Amino acid sequence: MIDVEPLIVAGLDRLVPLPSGERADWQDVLGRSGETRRRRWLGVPRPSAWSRLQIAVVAIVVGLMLAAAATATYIAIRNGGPAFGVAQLTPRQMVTPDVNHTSYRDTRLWGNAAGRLSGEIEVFGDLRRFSTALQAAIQESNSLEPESHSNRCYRWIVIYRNVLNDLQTEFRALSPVTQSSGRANEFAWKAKRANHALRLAAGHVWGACVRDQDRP
Amino acid sequence: MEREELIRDLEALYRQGYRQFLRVAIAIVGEESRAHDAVQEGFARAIRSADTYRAEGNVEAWLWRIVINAAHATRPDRVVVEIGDETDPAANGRPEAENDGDIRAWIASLPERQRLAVFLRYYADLDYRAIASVLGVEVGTVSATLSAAHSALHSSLEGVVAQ
Repeated sequence: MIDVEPLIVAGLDRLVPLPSGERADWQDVLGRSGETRRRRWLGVPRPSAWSRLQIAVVAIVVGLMLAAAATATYIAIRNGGPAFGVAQLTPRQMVTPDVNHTSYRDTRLWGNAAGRLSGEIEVFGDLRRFSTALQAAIQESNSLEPESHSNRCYRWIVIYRNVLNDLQTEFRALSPVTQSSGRANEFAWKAKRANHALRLAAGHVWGACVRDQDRP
Repeated sequence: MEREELIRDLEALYRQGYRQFLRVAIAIVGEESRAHDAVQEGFARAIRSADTYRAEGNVEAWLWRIVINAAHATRPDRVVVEIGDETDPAANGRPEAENDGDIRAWIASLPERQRLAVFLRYYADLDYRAIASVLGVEVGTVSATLSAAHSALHSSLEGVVAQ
């Protein structure tokens, strides 16, 4: 009788020795997560009373200038003359790219991606194809910026992505065992529960990202 | 758990466990540079999800799941997990080289979940309960999974001995 445990330990140690920790870099992790930017923002000292007064004056001046430009544009349009400045922009350009202004069309793109991704999960596709589809969806809908945790829509998209990731792990772990041991019912039940969680998360994305007036 | 508190915990886990995370990622990805990238990305993803983390779970298990997912995401399509260098000339003539070949073949033949359980047990040094949390299964299932993996290696080695 062979005791395989010591063989496994020694063999695995030789195949992947414990690596050195010299590449560990927590600042890089913070940078990738966007946390550095967030901390810098949160770390901005509160402006003094004098600075606040200056900011207020600048804001009033800018407001007056914008009002003057809008009035001039209105007069120009009313008189049939050429419009200028902001009035020349299309409505789409005038909307600041902000996830809170995500249109129904943009969210439909998300829906398409979700459909594709659900399909991937149901056939136990790999995470890479899922990520590719996710990136494609984000590129198609470039109004999904800014990625900010104060943004409810973005937060729900992150949750949605995490639910999908968790499901991928669960399915990857489940499928070989359940298929080989005939525990099909258990697997079917877990798949059903997973799809429910997915739909729930998708519903929250919908609720957080689509304005009422954009809903069909 | 507060966001700041969670991030401090993540930093502590990173500083204590970076080498174990990297080791498991290397075993999944097959190459150190991409594995390092997967670990960094995994932790970054955890921080980005800090607002949505539900405190009832085990932080470490949650983190392992994220890092494993990140490692799988960086793995090329249809890659067969290969660890170590099979053609390493220094291995020739070494008595343990034959066993290494058996271990490598054994790893490659395991289903995905058994392979992950082996990596978490021997490379991350997690106990059965922690592995169960990472894989989202019962402790008994982990025990059965590792036992099945051991049996497979046992049969393979007995075959070699019998010859």
